[in-house]
Amino acid sequence: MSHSGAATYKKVSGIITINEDVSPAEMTWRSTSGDKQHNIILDTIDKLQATPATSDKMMLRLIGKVKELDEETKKQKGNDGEPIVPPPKPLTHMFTFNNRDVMDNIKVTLQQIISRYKDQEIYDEKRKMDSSLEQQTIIAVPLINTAQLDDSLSRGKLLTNLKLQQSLLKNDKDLMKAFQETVMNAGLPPDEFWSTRVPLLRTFALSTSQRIGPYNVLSTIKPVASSENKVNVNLSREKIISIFQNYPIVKKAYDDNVPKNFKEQEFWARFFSSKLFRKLRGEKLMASDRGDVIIDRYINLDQEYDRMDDQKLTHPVKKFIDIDGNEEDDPVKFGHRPHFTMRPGLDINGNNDGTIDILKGMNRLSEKMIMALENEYSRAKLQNDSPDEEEKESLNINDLQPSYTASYAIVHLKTKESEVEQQISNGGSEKSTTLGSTADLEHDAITKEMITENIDNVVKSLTTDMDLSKILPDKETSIAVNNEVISAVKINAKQAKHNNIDPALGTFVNNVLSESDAKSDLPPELIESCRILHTTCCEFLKHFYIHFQSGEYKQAIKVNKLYKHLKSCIEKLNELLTDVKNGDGEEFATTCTAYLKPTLNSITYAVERYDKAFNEVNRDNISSK
Amino acid sequence: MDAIADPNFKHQGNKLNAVEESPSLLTVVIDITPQLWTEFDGKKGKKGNILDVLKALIVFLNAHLAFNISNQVAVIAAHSQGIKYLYPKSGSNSNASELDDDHNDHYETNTDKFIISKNMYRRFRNVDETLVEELYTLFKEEKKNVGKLTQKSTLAGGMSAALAYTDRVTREMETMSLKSRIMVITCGSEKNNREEIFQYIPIMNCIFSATKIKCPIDVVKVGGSKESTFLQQTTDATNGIYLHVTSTNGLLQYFSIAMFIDPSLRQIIVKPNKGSVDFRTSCYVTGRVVAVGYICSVCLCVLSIIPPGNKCPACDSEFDERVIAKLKKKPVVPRLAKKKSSGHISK
Repeated sequence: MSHSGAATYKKVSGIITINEDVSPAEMTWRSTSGDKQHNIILDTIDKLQATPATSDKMMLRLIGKVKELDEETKKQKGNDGEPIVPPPKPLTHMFTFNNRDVMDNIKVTLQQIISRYKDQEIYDEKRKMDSSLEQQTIIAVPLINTAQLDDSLSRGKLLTNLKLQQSLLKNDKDLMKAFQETVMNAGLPPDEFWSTRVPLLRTFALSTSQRIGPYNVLSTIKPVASSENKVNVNLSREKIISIFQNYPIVKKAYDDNVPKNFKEQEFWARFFSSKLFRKLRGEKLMASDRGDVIIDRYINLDQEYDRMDDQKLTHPVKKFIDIDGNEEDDPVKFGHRPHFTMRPGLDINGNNDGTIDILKGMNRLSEKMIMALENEYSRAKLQNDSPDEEEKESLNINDLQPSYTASYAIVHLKTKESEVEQQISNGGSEKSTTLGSTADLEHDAITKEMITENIDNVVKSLTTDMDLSKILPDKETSIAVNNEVISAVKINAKQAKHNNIDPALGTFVNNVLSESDAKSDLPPELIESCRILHTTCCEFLKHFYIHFQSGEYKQAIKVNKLYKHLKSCIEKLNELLTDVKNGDGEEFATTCTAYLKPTLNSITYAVERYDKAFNEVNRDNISSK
Repeated sequence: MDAIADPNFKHQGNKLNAVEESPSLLTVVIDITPQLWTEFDGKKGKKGNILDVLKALIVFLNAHLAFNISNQVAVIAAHSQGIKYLYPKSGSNSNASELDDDHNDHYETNTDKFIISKNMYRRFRNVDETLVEELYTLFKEEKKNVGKLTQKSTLAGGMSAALAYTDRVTREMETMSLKSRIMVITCGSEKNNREEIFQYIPIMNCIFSATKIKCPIDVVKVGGSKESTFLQQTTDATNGIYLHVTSTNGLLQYFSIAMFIDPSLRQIIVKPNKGSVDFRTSCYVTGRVVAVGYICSVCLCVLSIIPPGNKCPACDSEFDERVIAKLKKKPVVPRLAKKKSSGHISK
């Protein structure tokens, strides 16, 4: 569709036609007699001026660019042969109209086209500026194969996925430090290091591999009105990609026209002002809407695409029950045609206003989105679980099956009494002995008579006058008790403050933000080295025990290696302690020792256990020889 | 000075009065096992400690009732053979006692003798009389039971009963938004501590239900060792107070200064607990307190050793032999000698 209208140029009446089919777009004025013609290539136009609506005159002035004037004139000469005097001032074209509507129509069209070309220039310049940056935006490749999630998250795959491990280390500084210390500096095999951190890897893999699935991209694109009467649209690379994925028609339009007819920037500008965009987005198309001549041609093609999609999305009818089942039975797609009054957006003559098409389009889109995820995240596997299973289940005649009853295993808790009862035949004073022989003398001293006497005593007091005022403690006792309780409260109050107890929760709050290091006199570097040494030792201890207790003799060599590592850990610890003692003085040394003593003790214990087990095993072997 | 201070003070008072205090229920579980108290008497060289405790308790209950007209109390005794509701009376009020045997006849004749004081506030008297009456019956019965085998976990049973009672009353009085707390009075002896080990599971269950109904459990331990692992765990988990007193002297003062923290204030007020709580549990077989041990997956009983016979000593569940074998595996060390011998074979 070209825009045209009657206009007078240089006092000769004629018709203006805007031709967007060529690139760059052209505006042609042809006199009514047909002998005169004036051609303006629209990307050379700098400004557009029109008389205001209040004015009686209806004139439109196009002002050309100054800089590239020489080129333009050459072009223009080449185009229509009309000699144009190259003036020092910009080239202007003046048209007079006799109809306001016609002029406005042409004005708006020209505005759009001209601003599009201007944007292109700005974009090109910008592109030149950051062309170096542009190349760096690589679309992230997921670290794991998400289509076979179960497989990718298996222990073996995770342990061999070096890329994943690397990026995890990059993300987690603490882990990186531990890795550096234990694997790079102390020689722990990396697979050993990772073997205890498989869940960590798995979580990381899962959290990084999550992607945004297909969605209604176009509805998220919101044109923003800016100053200068322009409409801006922000478009990121990801969005373009997902537009192409969701709407093959746009992809086709793009491939057809870029860069043959227009540059990329222009394509998108045209696309967003086109009817096709509005249709895909799910808006009603009005006859009066201004579209884009070129892009709107694809609307017809899009209908073709839709038909193909519909065919693809047809629900297969299961033949399991309904042997005659066929596609006409698809309840989603077909069915009895309702009366026209029940059909939305339909007038008496059966013409629809496009609502149905929009709804259908949206439904189609949703279904496509769901289908697109069908093979992601191991879902393909789920589909393999015979889909007919449920149907078979429902067909079974279950009435005669015995009904399901919950069964419980009874756990008999044995109390010690039953055993004690058997053991003690002579009741007497030992009646409540639970641990048999260890009953102490004092306990033995309490006899049946004493208890009876006590009970008698109580009973007697209960039957006689009871003076409750006597129970009131004397002043000294009261004061002593008060002081005792208050001092306990004071101590607890101090602790409560120190421990940062949340009054609302009444428990210790593990707030990460408020977590701070306990005060220490040691210089931070020393503390840091203590800390690193500690983590390294713990790491080795952990791996040592895993293999030491594994019970698999294949691991013996590994255990031996780790044992040697532990020994060197002890050396390192001692080295550090002596260094501190010599370098920083006695006071620091004691603090440092206090910090590292538990670590040292546990390593020494582990070494002792190894030595003991080693000697035992080898002695056995020697003796068995 | 007074002129300035007085109205201020009054204003504050009014403000406090304006806030309607919500009523609360106090359930007391008291361990009256004569055996324990006799032992305690012997150690202290003073007779009738239990009476002192009971008297202090009565005053304490009266004080609680005096706080708010809607306040309620309940007392449950844990004795050598089981538990007994002392107040409110178990059974349908007095009907049961009338039908009862000579104990009650005996008691009826004595009724007028021991009544605490005829001029006493009626609400106090109702509670106190029933309490004393029931205690009397209970001790009479206890006399018969001297020499019989003592049940082990009556205290935990009493706590369970207290929780059940609390839950019931709270539900009945839902409209009143009744707050509740439980107080456990126990007598500690050297032996008791060991016995307590076998109450671990029932006490743990009590802790879980108490935290669920948000009911704090306070513990007063008279005599014995200072620590009481599981009862301390109970108070710690339920926001309760653990108090250990060495003698019954001044017990009332202890009660009134430390035991009157309203349940709604528990989270804010610093409690007069002493020492740290031992969070460990005990081994079912050896009775040792263990930090790291084995756990039966069926009944969750904690063991410090692999039990003989591959069977859980508490519930008789058979353990998986493979798992046991895994646990019994010896540490792995390279065998120098074996390597040599295998070398010989290969030659």
